[in-house]
Amino acid sequence: MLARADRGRGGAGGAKAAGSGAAAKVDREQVGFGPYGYVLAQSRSNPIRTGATVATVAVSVAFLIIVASLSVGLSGGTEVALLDYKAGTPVLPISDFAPTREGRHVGLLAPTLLDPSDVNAVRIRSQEVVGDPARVSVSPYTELVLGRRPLGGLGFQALRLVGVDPAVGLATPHLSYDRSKGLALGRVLSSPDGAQVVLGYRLWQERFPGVQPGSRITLRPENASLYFAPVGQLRARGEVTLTRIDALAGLELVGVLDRATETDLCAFVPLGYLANVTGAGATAAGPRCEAVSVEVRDPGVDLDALARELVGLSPRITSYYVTATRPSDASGLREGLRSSIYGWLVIAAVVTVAAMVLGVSNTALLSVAQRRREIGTLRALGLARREVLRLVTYEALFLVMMGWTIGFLSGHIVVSTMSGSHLQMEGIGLWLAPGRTVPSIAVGSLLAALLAALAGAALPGARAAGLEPAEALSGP
Amino acid sequence: MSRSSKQEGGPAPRAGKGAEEASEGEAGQDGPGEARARHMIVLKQVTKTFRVGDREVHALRNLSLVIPRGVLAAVQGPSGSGKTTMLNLVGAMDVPTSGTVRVDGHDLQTLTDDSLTEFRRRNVGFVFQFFNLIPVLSAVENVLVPTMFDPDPPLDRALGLLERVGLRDRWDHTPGRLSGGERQRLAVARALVSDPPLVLADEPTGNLDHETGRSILDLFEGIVREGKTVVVVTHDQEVARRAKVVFRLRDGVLVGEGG
Repeated sequence: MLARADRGRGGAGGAKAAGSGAAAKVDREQVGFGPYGYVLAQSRSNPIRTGATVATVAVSVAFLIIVASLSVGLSGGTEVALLDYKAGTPVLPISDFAPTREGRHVGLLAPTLLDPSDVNAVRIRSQEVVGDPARVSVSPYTELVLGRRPLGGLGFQALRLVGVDPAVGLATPHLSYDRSKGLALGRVLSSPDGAQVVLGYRLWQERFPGVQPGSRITLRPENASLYFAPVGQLRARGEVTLTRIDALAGLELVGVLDRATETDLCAFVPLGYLANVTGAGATAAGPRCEAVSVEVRDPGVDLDALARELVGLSPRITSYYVTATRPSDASGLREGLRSSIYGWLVIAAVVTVAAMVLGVSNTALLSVAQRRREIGTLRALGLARREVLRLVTYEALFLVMMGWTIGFLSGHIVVSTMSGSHLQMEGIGLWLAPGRTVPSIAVGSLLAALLAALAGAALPGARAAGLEPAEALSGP
Repeated sequence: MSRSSKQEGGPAPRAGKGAEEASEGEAGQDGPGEARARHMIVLKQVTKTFRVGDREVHALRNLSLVIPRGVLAAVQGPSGSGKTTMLNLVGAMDVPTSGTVRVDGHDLQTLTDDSLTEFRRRNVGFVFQFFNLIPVLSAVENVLVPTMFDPDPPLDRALGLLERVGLRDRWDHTPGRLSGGERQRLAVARALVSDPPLVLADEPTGNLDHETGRSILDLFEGIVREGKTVVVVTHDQEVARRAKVVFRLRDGVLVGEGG
């Protein structure tokens, strides 16, 4: 577009070539000079300023793309998970979880993070069953969520009552089994009599060194003091209030649970076991377990009967709180989640656009200040105020479009890389939902960038257009 | 805006009282068309006052003069005498506090801001002491700057002007790769790209050596031979010697004329 081809050429040589007839062959395409060429030339003339602005916009757009894509993926994934859960959760009476009942299911009281981003918390229904490494199979299990409470900014902490086949155990993404090593990173323990205790990995290592998962262990008196974190107190490592339980002697255990999460110092015992064997938290030093909160995601459950059963688990339990999640509740939860996601998305978009506006505006203001005399010359040569405004606006649009292109591609690559990753932080495992950079995100980010360009160019453009030529030319 | 490149024999320059008579004749009898044929610039009782803080600075005081069409005119005077202010008024970059400024038949003080801009673009070419070229643009692009927003920029004319000022070979060079004289010649080419009937030059030789300055004056004389009017604000006696009409200002007042 611009006559740039010979800029780097030696002056004498270029002059000679042009003067010897080449000058008559000026490529008209090269000299298609106009406002866009002027803007391009200005942008090229100051690579640091241009680069800084483009980088600012690129980072902002990439941030927006990442947040939006992950949010869309999360929203879609969570919706699917909720619908699956609603459609496929088997209805099991609470008595199936009682250890005193003859049957194949026992209860497991396991704290996990129930985070809106952790779709696994509501998706796990069919898991790899790994009780005996030689008998690996897949079978469903069932869970009930026993209580839920906010956990800082991380979502909710939930206590889940998981029904498992004591003969085979189970593994979930949080309680996984590494077949190649024959060693579980997380393992649910179950005993043939239906009682079940889950130990944190470190606790296992400390108490039972050399004992492999899957081994049968009879707790001797010297090993029978486990630590129990009261319901609702299990949090990140180091923040757990542990209560010693001395009533586990004689219990036979297999397996070990999860050395990678916040639970590795803890032991988890079935609710019924806790109620009946330990006296519902009647420990030497800890508080009693006097209240149970149960959230049942099954509209068919008789809540009164469930409450009676819960209370019947232990005479120590004197109060309860039972809620049922119905299909409409699931829908509400889904919509709430979606609203929350889009709310954060809007905030992210506003912050991003503001950053871009500031970046573009600062650059353009500096540019106008530095080119005051040049702008005065343009005005003197007959460029109208609106044309000067257009030049400033075109420059902002050019920079922003460059930044948007880089930012969009970068953001998309990051999203593709991050999708489905499992980030392991201190005490927190976070699965990232598969991000989706849908066309509406591309269009939305583009519109946001264009809006930022126009807004960012408004003030400097007005200043440039407002310059009086005589005044601008008389300055230093 | 009307344009005129018609070459005419310039009548004897008049100023002072004569200017008033000429102005009155144009306005009252001849009409704009005939007025454009006779005089390029008519200033009548022009006063320009600036406010600097609490102080008023009178840059021009009741200045009246006439510059005929098709001449090289020089305006001289010490610093602060009002030369550049006068040039700004004639070039439609500023408006007088009082009085009338008629250029090529247009009463500039009556024009809107947009009309003044259009007037500058079509009727006036500017040459500055420090060239005021756009450093990031090539020579030919600098020539085309005034027509930047035209749907069909006059590339042929720009190249022809570069040929005329001896820079055809260097059409793709940025100003940084040109000498001072070449830059000023480039500025002259830029001033002519819109084929204006009037060229205003503010100290065009002030930043050049003697020989280079003379080459610029040669260019100006060539422009005048085409029927255009060139007004040069200068301290350069060579300019005054070659000008057909010379005005001398002091403290915003016309103190002498010659030719």
